[in-house]
Amino acid sequence: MKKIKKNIKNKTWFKLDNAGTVFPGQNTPTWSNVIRVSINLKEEVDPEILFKAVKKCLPRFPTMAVRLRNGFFWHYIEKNPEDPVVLPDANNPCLRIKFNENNRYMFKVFYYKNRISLEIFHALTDGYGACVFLNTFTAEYLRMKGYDIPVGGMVLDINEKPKEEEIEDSYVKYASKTGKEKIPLFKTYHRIGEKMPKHTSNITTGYIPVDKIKALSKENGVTITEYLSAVLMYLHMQFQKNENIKQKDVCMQIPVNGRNQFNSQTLRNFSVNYNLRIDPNWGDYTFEEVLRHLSLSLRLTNTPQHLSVMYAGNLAMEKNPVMRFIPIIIKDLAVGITFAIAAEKTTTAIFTNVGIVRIPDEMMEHVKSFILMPSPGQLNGARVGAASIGNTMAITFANMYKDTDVEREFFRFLVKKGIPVKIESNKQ
Amino acid sequence: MSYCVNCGVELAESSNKCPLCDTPVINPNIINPVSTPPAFPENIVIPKSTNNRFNAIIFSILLLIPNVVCVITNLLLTPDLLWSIYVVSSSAMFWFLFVLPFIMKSNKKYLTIAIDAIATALYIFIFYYYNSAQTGWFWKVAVPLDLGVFAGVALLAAYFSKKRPLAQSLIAVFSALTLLNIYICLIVNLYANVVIVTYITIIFGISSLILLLFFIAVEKNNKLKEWLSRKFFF
Repeated sequence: MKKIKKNIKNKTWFKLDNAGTVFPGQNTPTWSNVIRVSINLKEEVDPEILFKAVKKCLPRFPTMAVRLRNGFFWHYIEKNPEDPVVLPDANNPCLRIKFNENNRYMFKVFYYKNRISLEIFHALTDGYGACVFLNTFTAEYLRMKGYDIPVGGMVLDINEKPKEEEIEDSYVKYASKTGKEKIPLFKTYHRIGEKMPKHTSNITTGYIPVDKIKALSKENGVTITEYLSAVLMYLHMQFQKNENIKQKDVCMQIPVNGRNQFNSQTLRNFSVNYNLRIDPNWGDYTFEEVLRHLSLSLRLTNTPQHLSVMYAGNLAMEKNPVMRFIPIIIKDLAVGITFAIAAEKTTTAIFTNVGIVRIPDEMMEHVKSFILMPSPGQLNGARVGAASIGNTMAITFANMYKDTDVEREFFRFLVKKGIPVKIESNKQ
Repeated sequence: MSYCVNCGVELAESSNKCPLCDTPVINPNIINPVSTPPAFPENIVIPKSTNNRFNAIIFSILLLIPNVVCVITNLLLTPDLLWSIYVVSSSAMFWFLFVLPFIMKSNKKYLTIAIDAIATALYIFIFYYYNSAQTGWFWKVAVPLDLGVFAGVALLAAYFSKKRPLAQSLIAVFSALTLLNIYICLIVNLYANVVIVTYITIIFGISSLILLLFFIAVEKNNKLKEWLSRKFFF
């Protein structure tokens, strides 16, 4: 029988991808799992043109131009006929996403001086998808301003039809058929302090030259992600040691982009988290030893086979026949409780590095820097995002505590190693 | 271009102190600093909270429907037997306890407790009036117990209006429970001498008194507190 493929543009609803299914259940009146990406241009942003650019790009991203709906058993996303919302930026980014606000879109576009920012609910996409979406509508914005910007890298052709492989759930496609692994959970150390007032957080961005940090990492025989994660891990071990308490594991969470290992072009979620632990009860570690431990652990664990069994482990829950027929209200409740009692308690800090943001050279002439940050946590102070464009790497801390000692020690560490750091913050 | 003398990091032109260590920026070479915009705007957006009042009103209307249906059915089919009064009074009781607090515009906790006390007394009165009005237990037992319990709740609410340490909170709760226990025993025994209530009061009262004394001892004695945390850490 001949299969009739539906035009993706005319498809009115989609299932959430495997990772996306858990995020609506984690949502609370004060917190959502949001990814924020920002691009700093060389000229002030015109909000009216920005709105037109975002609106023009939406049909190219059918899984972003959606609103979230409740099915009886699962959440789903359906085409949103409303206009997107472009807002002036605020001092307190990454606010919770409420599904009936913002014309029911699950992303918000902000502008402030030279900066365009996109905050997107994690149920729709991961850091990579957010970067592609932001770069594509920023390129269109620059075109509307009269510049000639070609497509390429993370800038998609908006005149092209959306591709089937861009909306696929790659977790299902690349999950192992033979093995599965569930991520073990351990209680870990947290650097806690006095919380910031509700809905506010400390955002600190450090800009560093890519060539210098690359050279430093190479000198130590590791990658940039390994080096910077090891700095965070080492600092947390020092904090815990100085607190003179019962020593718990220090666990770094490092999200890994599956697209690097598999031939996936999806614009939906396709990352999983590696939790790399070290037990301080084994004795004192020097920074070099922590770096070696983290680097070797990551290299040992980061294989396509391992990713594949991790996808299978996550999918097992979704495919379980009993789970499938549990009403969504109970599923959301279970996800919320699990998230409250486990989740952040099992990780000390998160370091997510989207890597080099590739855009056409003609667009690069108008761009100063690119920033990626995860939303501030509910327990973890150090939730760190990094992105590089040209020779500038932006490392951003989203911290829910008043004390900024983790970021202070982190950037001081880099300065001591000879890396120049320029700091920006939302502190008033 | 300024650097923090403490951290060694370069600071944004708009910074007048280091965001990492709060050290003020003093650059003697720049006498009249050019004001540049900060990295983030100053305005803080506080998102709207969930409209609980609207949801509570909708729920109240929905709750009204089965009650109206019950009353109409009762009056049409069995006018001699007034069974719908139990359904309506139970719904009303539920509404006063769990829905009304969301409809009230401001958080008036003592008013809410007073309304709940009256609603509970009225609810019990309906059962009393339709079943055993001649015995008089409502006035002798139910009303004093209702007033005593809600007065205790009001006192605890006043005590917990400030955040209290765990040991002090436990002392307050166990004191309230011990007093309530004795009060129930007195009221019930004044109405009718029920031996079983006395036994329960003695067992429960002694247990909570022991716990109360233990928490008071822990709260007062730092050495004991330290010894306990040393012996029973996990």
